[in-house]
Order: sequence, then structure tokens, then C-alpha cells
Amino acid sequence: MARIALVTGAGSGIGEATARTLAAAGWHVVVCDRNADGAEKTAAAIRGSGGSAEAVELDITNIPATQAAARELSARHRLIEAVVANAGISGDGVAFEAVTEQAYDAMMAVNVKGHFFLLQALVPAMKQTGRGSIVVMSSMFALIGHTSMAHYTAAKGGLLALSKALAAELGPAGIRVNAVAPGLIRTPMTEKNTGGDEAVFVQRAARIPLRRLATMQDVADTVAYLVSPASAAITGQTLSPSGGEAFTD
Amino acid sequence: MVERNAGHAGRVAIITGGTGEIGRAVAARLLDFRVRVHVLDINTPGDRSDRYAPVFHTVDVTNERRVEAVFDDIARDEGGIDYLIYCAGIFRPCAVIDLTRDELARTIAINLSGAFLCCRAAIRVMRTRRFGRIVLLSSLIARVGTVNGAHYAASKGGLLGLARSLALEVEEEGIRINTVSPGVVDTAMPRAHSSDEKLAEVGRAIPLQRIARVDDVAEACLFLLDEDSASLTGQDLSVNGGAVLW
Repeated sequence: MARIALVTGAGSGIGEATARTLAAAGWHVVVCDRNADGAEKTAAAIRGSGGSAEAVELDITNIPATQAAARELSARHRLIEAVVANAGISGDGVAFEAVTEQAYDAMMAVNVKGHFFLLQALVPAMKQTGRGSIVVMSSMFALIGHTSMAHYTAAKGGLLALSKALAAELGPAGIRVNAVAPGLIRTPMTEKNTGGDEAVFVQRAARIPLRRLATMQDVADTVAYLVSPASAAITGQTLSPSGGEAFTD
Repeated sequence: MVERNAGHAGRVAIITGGTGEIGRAVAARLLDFRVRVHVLDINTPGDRSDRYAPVFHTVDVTNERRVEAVFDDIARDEGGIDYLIYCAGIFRPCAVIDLTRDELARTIAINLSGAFLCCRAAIRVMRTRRFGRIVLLSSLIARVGTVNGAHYAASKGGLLGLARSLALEVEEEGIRINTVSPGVVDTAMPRAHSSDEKLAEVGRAIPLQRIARVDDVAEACLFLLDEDSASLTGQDLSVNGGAVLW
């Protein structure tokens, strides 16, 4: 019987690539997204490739609904063994002084608060079976800083710290928690931010040791490793698919 | 488990300290994938399993001429070198006050300078084919330190700086260099200094409730050698069960 993985924000971008990669590795993937069409498109693509997936419309900023959905999924699947806390919104190109309270709250609501309470609802089932692997999608910028994204960086840093706290607290229950901190990745979200300006991506790649931006697939492969048995002794750690731009730790 | 390892078959790997427990575990995994494995060690190998059939070379990694000669021989005989995994290392606990200059020099020479010599020899070959993967075995101790181990910590910490600098120096040459930092691993090394009970106690204090096994460390090395880590270079992968979370 396939093991179950849940990915948030899997309707597009890194989440979609991660969902597809996990499905190709044999996981049954619960594809979650606040955009129902996006989630269904990813799930259908997985099934079309011979994989196993189901789509779930999930807005993790709605805490009661998310926790109820998480409990229902846990009950139905007995154990959701891997969780990829990937859903997020961008906050690029916003000067610190220009960040509104509303923008700040929205950033924290998705990245940190939403995942905090989603994981809280999924962990009891993991504890019962003594098995689980959680990966949070942080950002290289939470490690090395960056201009004009203070609220984004703060949120991604919060996720990173949460992964370490959970690693310490849930480790004895057999649950591993790690973080992936990607560098700049070309995704629908980041392409929108640059307004389709190729030069931004090209210039950044030219400065990276491996001379290319990490791709969505690189990020997905890193996640897949962290939820696999190959990383069984690894918890509380951060891997940064970034072409070498950030040397973690 | 994701394994895109079809590319390993036929590649050439050099493992230093390859008769040690971690080196043997890495060798065994690579042999599973039909990699041509060359083991460099100052010791002769002990019992060999059927699967453990690498080419063995007696090498003192602190001997610059010997290192250069062996890397040249392997590159010539095999047509190239694809992977270098540096597992050679010693640790004789000793308080700083009592540390002799010889002991300090020996620790740095084997744990760090030898890595420098082997990386240099490997990179010379790897850059001609624009392909290479290097994994250096550092240690948790490099970051957290340990009493009676300042010399060891310094040598292992040096590997982190070495790996990051090399990662930058081989930009554009198709070579990735990373480190693996194990915590306590269940091998002869900690067992030489700690009782079974002490090691069990150490395990219980770790979030994942156990010390690492050699297979855990070998798997981390394999990840850094294969294409699933294609965008990782200059990185340190800590295998410590959550013993240290920073």
C-alpha cells in the first residue's frame, strides 16, 4: 500500500513539482491548494502519468476548516506520513517602510500560522504510528537576508525556526522535521514578480557557483530525499538548493 | 525512495580511509551501483564480504608524492576520476594542555591536509572532463566543539572552509563539493572511548533516540553524489539525529 504524502500549495510551482516527484517515487499524494482547479490539475497530471493522487481544496489561513480537513484526512488515510509545508505568497520588491499591516498579516497567516496549525492537526496520527517526516519550505533569504522583502524573510525565518522546534519536540515520537531553503527559483510566482524580465534571472545565474539557478525539480528532489528512508537520521537540518549561492549553517 | 542513480554505473570513485567502517559502507553502496571503487588507506583491509571488491591502494594521505602518484595511476588506468569521498581521519582525545606538537600535526595532516592534497589531485583530473563530485567527511564537533578534542574540532572545521572555498574555485567546471557532518556514529571510534551504556545514554538524549549508523552516513554521501542533489554545492549535510539543530 502506498505511503501518503500531503503537499500544500501543490497547485502550481514548487508544490506541483514536489507533488509530481513524490508521486513518481511511489507516494500517494494529497494535493492541497486554495485554488481547487490548480489542485485538481496537478492531481490529474499525476494520475495521467500512472501515479496516485487526490486533490483537496485547502485554504490554510482558515484555521478551523484546515484543522477539520486535516483530521478528516488523517482518519481516512490512517497515516499521512509525509507533509510538505510549501504553500506561500511572495513579498518581493516591497521596501520595509512600505509593508502594510495587512500585507504583514497575510504573509504570516499563510507561511507560518497556517502551517503551524495544519501540522498541529496532522501530528497526532503520526505520533500514533511513530513515523513521520515533515519538510517546511523556507527560503535561502531567511538564511542570508535580502533587501525589499522583510515580511517574507521574517515569515520564512519563522518557518525555519518552527522546523527546529518541532524537530526537538517530535523527534522522540519518531517524527523528523527538516527545512528546504531554496535560492531564487523560476516559478510562476517569481516570474510574475519580475514582470517577465529575463535579465533578472540571467544576471543572478551568472553570479552563482554552479552558474544556473536551482530549478523547481532541484527543490522537489531535495524534498523527496528528506522524506525518504535514506535520510532517516537527519532532522532539524536545512538544505539549500541554490546552486551554491548560500552555504547553509 | 527516490533513486535516479542510473548514472553511477561505470563511474570511478576514490574513497580515502576506505577500510574504516564509514568508508566501507560508502564503498558497498557504490559497488551496488556498479561504480568502479578505489580504496586508499594506510591500513590493509580486514575481512572482505563478497560485495566488497574494490581496488585497494596502500596510501598515506599525508604523503604528497604518493597521493599524486596514486591519483595519476587511477586516472590513467580508468580514464578519469568521477567521485572522491574523503573518510580518512583520526581522533585521539587529549586535553589542549597535554597535546604534543606531533599529535596536533598528525591530526591536522590526516584529517585536513590530506583532504587538501586529495582534492587538489582529484580536481586536476575532474576539470579535464568537466565532471566531479567530492564529499568530505567533517563532523558535528567542527561546530559544537568537544572537550579533549580541540585538535580534532579544528581539523574537521577546516574541512568546512576547504569545501566552500573549493566549491567557489571550481565554478563552471561541473564539479560539486559538499561535506557530511555526522554526530556520534556507531563505529569503533566512539566505542574505543565509551561503554555500551554510555553510548545508549547518548542515544536517548538525541531527538531521534539513537546515534547514527554507518548506513545513515553512507546514504548522505550517496545523496550528495547523485543527481538528486544537483543544485547543492558548498553545503554541509548534518547526520546527527537532531542532536544539534543549528
